[in-house]
Amino acid sequence: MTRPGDIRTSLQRLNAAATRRVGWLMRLYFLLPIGAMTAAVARHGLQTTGGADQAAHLAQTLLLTVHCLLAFLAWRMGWNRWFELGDRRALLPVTALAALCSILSHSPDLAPLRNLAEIGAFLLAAQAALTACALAARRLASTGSILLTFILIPAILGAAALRMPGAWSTTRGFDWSDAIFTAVAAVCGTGLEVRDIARELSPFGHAVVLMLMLAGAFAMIVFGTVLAFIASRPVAERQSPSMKKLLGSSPEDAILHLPSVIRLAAGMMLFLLLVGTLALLPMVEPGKNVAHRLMAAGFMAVSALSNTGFSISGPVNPTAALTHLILVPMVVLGSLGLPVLANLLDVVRATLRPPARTNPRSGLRQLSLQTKLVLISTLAVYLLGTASLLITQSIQPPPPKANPDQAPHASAGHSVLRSLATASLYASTRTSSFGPVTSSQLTPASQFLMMPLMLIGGAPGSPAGGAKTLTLAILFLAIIATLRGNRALEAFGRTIPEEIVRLAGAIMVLSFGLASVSALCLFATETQPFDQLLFEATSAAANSGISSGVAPFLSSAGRLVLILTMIAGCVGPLWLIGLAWGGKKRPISYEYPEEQVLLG
Amino acid sequence: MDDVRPTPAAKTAEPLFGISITLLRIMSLSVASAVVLFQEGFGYFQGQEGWAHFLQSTGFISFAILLGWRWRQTLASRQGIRGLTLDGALCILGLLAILPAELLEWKPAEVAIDLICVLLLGLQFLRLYVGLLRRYHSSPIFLPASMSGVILIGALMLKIPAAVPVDNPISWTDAAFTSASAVCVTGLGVRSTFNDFTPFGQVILLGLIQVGALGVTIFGSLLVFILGGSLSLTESLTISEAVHNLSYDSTREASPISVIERLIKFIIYFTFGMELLCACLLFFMLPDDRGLMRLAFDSLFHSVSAFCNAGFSTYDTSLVGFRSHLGILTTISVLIFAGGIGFPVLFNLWQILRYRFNAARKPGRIDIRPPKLTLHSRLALTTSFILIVGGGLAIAAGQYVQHLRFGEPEIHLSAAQRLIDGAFLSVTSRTAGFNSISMDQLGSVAIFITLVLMFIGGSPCSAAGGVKTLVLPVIALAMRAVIRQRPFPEINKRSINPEVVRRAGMLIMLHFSWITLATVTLAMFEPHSLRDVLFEIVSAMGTVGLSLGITAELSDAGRWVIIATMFVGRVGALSVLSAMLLRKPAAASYRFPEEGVLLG
Repeated sequence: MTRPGDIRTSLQRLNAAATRRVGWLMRLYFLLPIGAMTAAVARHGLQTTGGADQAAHLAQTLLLTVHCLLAFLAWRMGWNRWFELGDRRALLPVTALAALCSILSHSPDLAPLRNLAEIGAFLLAAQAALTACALAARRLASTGSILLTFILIPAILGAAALRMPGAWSTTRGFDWSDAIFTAVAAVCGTGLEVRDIARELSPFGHAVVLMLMLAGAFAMIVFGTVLAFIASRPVAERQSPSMKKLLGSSPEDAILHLPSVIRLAAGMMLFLLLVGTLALLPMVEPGKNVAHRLMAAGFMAVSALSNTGFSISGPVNPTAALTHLILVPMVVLGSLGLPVLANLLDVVRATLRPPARTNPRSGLRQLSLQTKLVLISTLAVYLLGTASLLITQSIQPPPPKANPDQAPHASAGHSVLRSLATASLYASTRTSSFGPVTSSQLTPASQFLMMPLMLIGGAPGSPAGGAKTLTLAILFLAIIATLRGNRALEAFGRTIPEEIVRLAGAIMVLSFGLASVSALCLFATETQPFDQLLFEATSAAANSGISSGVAPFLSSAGRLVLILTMIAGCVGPLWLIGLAWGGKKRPISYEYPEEQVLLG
Repeated sequence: MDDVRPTPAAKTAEPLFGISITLLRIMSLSVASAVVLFQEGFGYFQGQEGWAHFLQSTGFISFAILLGWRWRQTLASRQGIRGLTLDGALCILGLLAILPAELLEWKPAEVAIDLICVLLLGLQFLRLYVGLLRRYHSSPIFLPASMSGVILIGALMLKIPAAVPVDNPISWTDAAFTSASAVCVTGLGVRSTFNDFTPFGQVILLGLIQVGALGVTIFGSLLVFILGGSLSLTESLTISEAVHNLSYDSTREASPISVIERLIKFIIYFTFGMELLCACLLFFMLPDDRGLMRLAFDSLFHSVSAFCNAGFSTYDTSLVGFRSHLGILTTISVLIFAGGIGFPVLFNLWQILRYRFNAARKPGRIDIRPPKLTLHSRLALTTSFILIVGGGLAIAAGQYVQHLRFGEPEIHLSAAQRLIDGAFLSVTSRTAGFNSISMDQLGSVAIFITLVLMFIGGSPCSAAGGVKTLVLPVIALAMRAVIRQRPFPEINKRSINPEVVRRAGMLIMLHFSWITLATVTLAMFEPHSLRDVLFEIVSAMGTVGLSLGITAELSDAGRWVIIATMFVGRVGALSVLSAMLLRKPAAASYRFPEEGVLLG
């Protein structure tokens, strides 16, 4: 890890690492745990037996042992350039333990140790993948393509894993379209299901989905933050001190800060996941054994934090305290975004341990404009959304004249408390599909209201999708500025640069346009009712995952449409930023004369 | 036009006398019109027709005499015959008709006098409106107040007993709905125009449509074209450009007042000319199975309704009966297009035509700045063309897919008929509201395309509604500018002011917000599917008049929601725009420091 303040040295080292060809030994060092993990996946996924199983086990042991030897060799010989992007010394015990467990588990008595070795292999592989990410991010050209790569690679690998027989728990396996759809939905944090994840996947399948959600969320948090910063060249110098501390004062600096960002993101996620899992543990699947409950609680925690909304322990009850005390806060924390969370962390630190000779209230002064805007817009969307959903949920539409004795809508007519709970749940988890199936729980009016709420989405630098609450806040400020007579955009004693307003408008247009195009394609390929398809397309474009229930019945063409929509909804805004700000800023050498155009 | 603003000569000579003469003239005309109202509307003067005719003729003749006197006065003051040509012509026609009406009691002549009385009164009201407009145009409530006044008068007139069949009285809500629908040139109807209104009621509807279309068009043209076309009055270049384009080949000085008068004259002459011409064309094409008088009225009604983009039809199935009658469909389409392209474009084209004509006649003449197609005209024409052709093709393709899938009886429809259907629906959904195919045959694709077209609507300063076509290229060009990293939206070597982009964004957001609000409200109280409700609201907001068949089934609350939506759709955008245009930018003497935020 680079020490703070030692930027110049680390820059030199980094440049050296990037320009020099990485030696084959180092590549091997990164490939070995990935190979070991492949062996583990093959064991569970293909359910190998006999000779094949023996071979997989042997290969895993071999790979882990070589990796362990290489790591210790590098440590003893001081091959520092292997550790350029992070101190891997902390992983040395893990390496050793994994190798040891793998060796020991060859004895029939100690066979369960093999699972431990597999977990170790997974950790090492994840670390290797992160390093590869950090190295590759420097080399790829456009910001959109980086994120696309880190979305697509896990999706493809995950789809392959879900295609394996060991991932299924029923005789009706996942075909390629099921597997790809589920993998993409998990990576993009969408949560649309074409197959029942809870019942039709084995524990191994659940683990794969869990990994995919983690990988997707991580990619979106880290790259969504860093790449947006790198891309935002025109405004980078004008970022807040807190952002500069996190990401560096210039886009060129941001790469240096990538390891620390990765570390921070990983640490925060790990902490929140631990807390969430422990809190959920007593409440999910009572009566089952501990391993099962641990898995269910962990799955739910990951699902909440990554704003995905898959659940393997049944649908969430909107009136349960568990939902509102644990799940909703986790979803909201997950949707705030890394820049805000990092800033909040700074504020908390500064408040608890104020630096000497400063005002004790200096902590709050560190709140950046981003944090204030995100927090206020999230709160506003939540309150307004809850209030209007409460109204639409409490009023029962009259039965149609043609069919007066049709059963009243399932959701309406509940008590106000239940309506309030449902409204609050949907308003806060609009980016993740926690909550019961839409068609039975929401009145038509609520369904329509959910569409703009979903499209607004979460905050930048978070796994939540949509056009982002911050975009909405900026457009709102733009309207106020226009109504006040073409003033600059002002908020909390700061002016927001004009470039950001243009970009916010473009992102909003992109988001609505994506939902429209996707809906149009679905109308052409599917026969389901208009309302449900529109809802499904909006949900996919906003990476929300609240479903009107038509996803399992879509044709392959419809599934393809939704898959592309989910990926575009995930990558689109960042890709737009890259286009708008990325590359070499071209000098403006000419301007055309203005000519009037009439509106209205 | 000079009644309200008396010529300086008349003003200085005998102001009191002049005003009282004008008052007397209008009063005598009112007496003549009141006779028409009471006789035709309430069935007074039964058995005393002689008295009524005498009263009417006296009023009319005194009006003619006073008008002649006024005419002589303007001739004496060498002002030329300005503004009163139309009155004079109508007056002479009326005088010609009085003799056969009074002496021979020839029915058509009596009807002609009645009509001329009402038309003349309408012209006086138009003058009053323009006068008020000139004085109060900067008041943000002028347009809403005048529109709601007209709607109220319209509702009162529809409550006149003779307007509806004796056995089928109209409720207040329905009267308000029909009046609002006519004044806002929407065309949504809770009652059948032909069966549920008498010919007298249909004439009232026709008048309301014409008044609504002209009123808003003139307001919009004045406001946006003259005052708002330039961003501020200090930007004299653009306003002089506008004035130049307007006043080309005018030998007089191009003062804004004279430009306004010329523009209004052009609007009125073009409207009536186009409507009469196409009424004559329709007269020879519409079926004559309902009698010759009826045929003449039908032709006029459809011509006016199409030019004003209203969409009311005296046939119960709209134009479904003429699905393959190319002549009728083309005439109606041309009317809709001419009414929806906006007077700035028409005026521009007219100037170019005149210039070409003059240049051909006088080849030696050299003009330094010949009128050219403005950027506005170019964008409006291109966008309309793309929307009509693209929309038509997409609807035809969508319907083909729909028929293939559901194997409806229309599967064997010829390709030409499909294209005709698509093209007409594409034209009529922006924003007239006639339909040549039954709306319940539309598939999801066609419905969605129609929704988008209805949302976009026609061009500015026209009878059409929607967010207006110009918003679309402005937003698209702004997106292109963002992606190309250019400071301003550019096309054809001209740039568009970023302020215009902001306004366009605001208009879109305004429409979106209202549509969301109205749809949610309607969905709460009506038992219809979300699709039907959304279609109804977008149709009302864009003042289109297409419906998936729920209009007549709406509850009273639902009807008022639609009324409000029509009103906002017609008035809202212009009012907001006027508030923005006429507001002086606040001079900010300070500026906060800039701080960036991360989007994406």
